[in-house]
Amino acid sequence: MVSSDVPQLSVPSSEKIIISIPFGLIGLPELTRFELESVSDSWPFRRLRVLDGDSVEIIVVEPQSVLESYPLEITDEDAQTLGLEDGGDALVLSVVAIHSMDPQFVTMNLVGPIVVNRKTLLGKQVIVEHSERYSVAHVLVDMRGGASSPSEEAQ
Amino acid sequence: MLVLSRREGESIMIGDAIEVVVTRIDHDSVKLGVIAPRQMAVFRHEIYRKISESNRVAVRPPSAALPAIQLPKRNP
Repeated sequence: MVSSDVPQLSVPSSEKIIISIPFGLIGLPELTRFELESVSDSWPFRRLRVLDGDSVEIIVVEPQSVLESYPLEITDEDAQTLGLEDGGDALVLSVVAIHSMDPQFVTMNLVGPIVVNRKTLLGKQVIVEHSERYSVAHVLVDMRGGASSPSEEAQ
Repeated sequence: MLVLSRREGESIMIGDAIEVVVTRIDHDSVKLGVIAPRQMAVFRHEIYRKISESNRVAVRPPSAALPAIQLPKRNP
């Protein structure tokens, strides 16, 4: 039997997923430790709870699970900081802003995703390469009822 | 605000650890190189502003209700 110490984040688990983001989030440097909900009761959303300080949370979405095309590229420096050698080790979380309960007003930040090394659970909010192609407030659901495509915004 | 004149190839130091180099000057733009410790994040100001605003909007009370969204899963 093959066992793995890699957290299987897509599988329901009672294990707590504690993510450490030593430099904090951009503009919120005090938020450095989070617990990621291991299984979501409201896909595609997952709750990322702040562990220290105020009792608050941030909603995140794995962008590649809802978008047709989001070929994430990060800088070599960020990959090094995170100890990422293989793209498959990266858990990518887009920060969601819920301006209203109407899905038309739910946006995700595609410019500055939180990238986490699944093996070490070390994370960083990075700026993606070619950031001009993406929006910090990408509407999750477009008028046609499907997932909107990030590439449409470049035109 | 401290204002310094620099030519192409010259640089300034901010403290002991951060160096900002003027690498190229065109008509209306300047290319800057930044040498800084890894924990010092360097951003274009407008990107920093947008992302920090978006992060602040995203912080919410725990376990608050979420909108119901119907989307096809890309990677089931």
